[in-house]
Amino acid sequence: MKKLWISLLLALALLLSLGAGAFAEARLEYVTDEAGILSEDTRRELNERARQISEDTGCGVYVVVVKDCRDYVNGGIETFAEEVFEEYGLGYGSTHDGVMLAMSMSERDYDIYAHGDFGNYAFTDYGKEQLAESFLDNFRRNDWAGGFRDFVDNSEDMIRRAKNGDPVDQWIPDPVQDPGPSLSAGELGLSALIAAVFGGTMVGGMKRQMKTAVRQTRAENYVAQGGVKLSRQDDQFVNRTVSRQVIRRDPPSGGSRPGGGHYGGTTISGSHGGSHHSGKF
Amino acid sequence: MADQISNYQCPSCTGPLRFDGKTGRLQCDYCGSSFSVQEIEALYQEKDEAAAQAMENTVSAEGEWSGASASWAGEEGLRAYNCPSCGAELICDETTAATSCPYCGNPSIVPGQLSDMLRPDYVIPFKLSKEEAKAALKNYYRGKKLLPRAFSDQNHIEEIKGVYVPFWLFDGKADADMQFQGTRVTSMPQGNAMVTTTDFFRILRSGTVSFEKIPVDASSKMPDAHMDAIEPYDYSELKPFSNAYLPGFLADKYDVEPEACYARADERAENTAVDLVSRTVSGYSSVVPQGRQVHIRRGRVSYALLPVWMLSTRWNGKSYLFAMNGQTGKLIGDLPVSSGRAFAWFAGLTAAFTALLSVIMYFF
Repeated sequence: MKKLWISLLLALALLLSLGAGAFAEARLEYVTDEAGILSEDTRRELNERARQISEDTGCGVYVVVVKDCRDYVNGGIETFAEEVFEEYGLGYGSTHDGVMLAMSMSERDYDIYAHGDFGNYAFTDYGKEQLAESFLDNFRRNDWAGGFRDFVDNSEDMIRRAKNGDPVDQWIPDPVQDPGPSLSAGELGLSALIAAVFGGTMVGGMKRQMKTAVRQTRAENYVAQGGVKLSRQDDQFVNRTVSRQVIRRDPPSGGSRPGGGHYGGTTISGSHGGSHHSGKF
Repeated sequence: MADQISNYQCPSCTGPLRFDGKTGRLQCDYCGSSFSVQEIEALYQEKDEAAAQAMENTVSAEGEWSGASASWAGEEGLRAYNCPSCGAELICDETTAATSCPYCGNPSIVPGQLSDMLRPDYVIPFKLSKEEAKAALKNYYRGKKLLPRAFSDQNHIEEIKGVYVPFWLFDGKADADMQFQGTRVTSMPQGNAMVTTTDFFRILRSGTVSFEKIPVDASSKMPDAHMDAIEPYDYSELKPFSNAYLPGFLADKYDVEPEACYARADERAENTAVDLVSRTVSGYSSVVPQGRQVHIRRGRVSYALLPVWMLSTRWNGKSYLFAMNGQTGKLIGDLPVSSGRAFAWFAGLTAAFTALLSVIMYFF
């Protein structure tokens, strides 16, 4: 399964098998952009990079972008990713090892789909989360090429680490390549402001300790024993008001499937030897 | 003039006696004898009365101080006496009732200052010694992070003085009539709606609160806030007044009349009565006061001397006064604040909190 050029006939077969649409007339490559968000040069560059990694490592790295995944499948982005992977027979080796980033632009859904024994070993749940974080900041700025580069590069790192028996199960950022998220000046300013309020309050408390002479305005200590006598204790009902407020029962929010589709992303196990991490970008 | 001031001398050796708070007896530091207050009272009753009469005659006959004190006659608020032990001239405020000779340390009583109409009804004897007061003051300085380092070093803790401060003790009753608006709110679902029922009530409360011995200091020299802040005193140890409790301490007679102190006692009684009556309103979701009338019925006024350890000190041109309840040990006072230390603490805390918050924001 080395060749990824897909014929129009195969696309038609996919159309029939999916029943709801077709990955129409697509020539599925390592990087496929049906939504037209990349320039052809960029796509070629990324495609070449993904191909190189896939062939060198024996673990496929794919990017598939469509305008609306519902044009192709009855389901969400995870179903789309699974169906494309299965129908096109993607992946390398006997268990079809590989990882795919599938994106549907209309709903801004993404899914990272890992397949095969080695694919799932290399792309752990934690690894997929970290992989998503590496490109989501680019996507939020509509920097598609940058996001795909991050996906491809970090996928290569994860595959190579897994090859060395050290799959990414906890994130160790490279301080040079990835200094990690840094606080903005506004966030630092806010921290300093809140801290100054705390500091000022504590120093104010210390200052109050320095002045303990205060005039008394109460005399509880001098109330005679049994010295409180109530002569009138009268509670009179005056009126009653009744208000009625309709309870709104909002439909559950979120994506198109239970437990998924929220902004931060979620990981679920698929039914085709793969695992997902999906969300909104 | 020698008769105008007296001291209690030890019947055994004629050494000066002083009141010891620990034992509650008069102690002779020379021969070690000790005597009960009653014994000394009985021994010196006639002498005290004679001395008081002599002082009264002197003032009324001459209209001014004579003899050794003539030079001070024109000075407003000062009086001069002769120490009965060494003969030195003692210059005192006109309110001074007990003092010590600065030359020989002899504790002396100024007769007439606390006799007849001016005689206090009660006294609470000193219970804590000077050593305990000094230790408490040193402990008070500890842990004060903004205190200038040099302040406690240069502080003359040795100069702490035991003073019987004059207080008026006011009895009285406060009649309070109060009105409130209360609500009780219940909510329960009915079909697809939440129904909230609010019942409004007019709440009336009337009551009388009786007070006993609300203290107000009767000395213009004593800051009100300091004297208020060392309250309360344990009145179960109030004793009928006797001069025999005074030797070894300073004492002043009152120079603020009860009429001038009523307002402070009334204010405290009114606030407390309003609080206590308000607390009887319960079981409502919200209570809003609508009006109140409080009538104060003033009762008996007693005159008492209450024990206070005091230290007045100066720092950078400002006066700082510490006061400790001589019975319970409650210590209060104003301390100077080091601007440099305050800024350093502020900067340090702000930096630490900023770092902490940044870490939290970074990871969350």
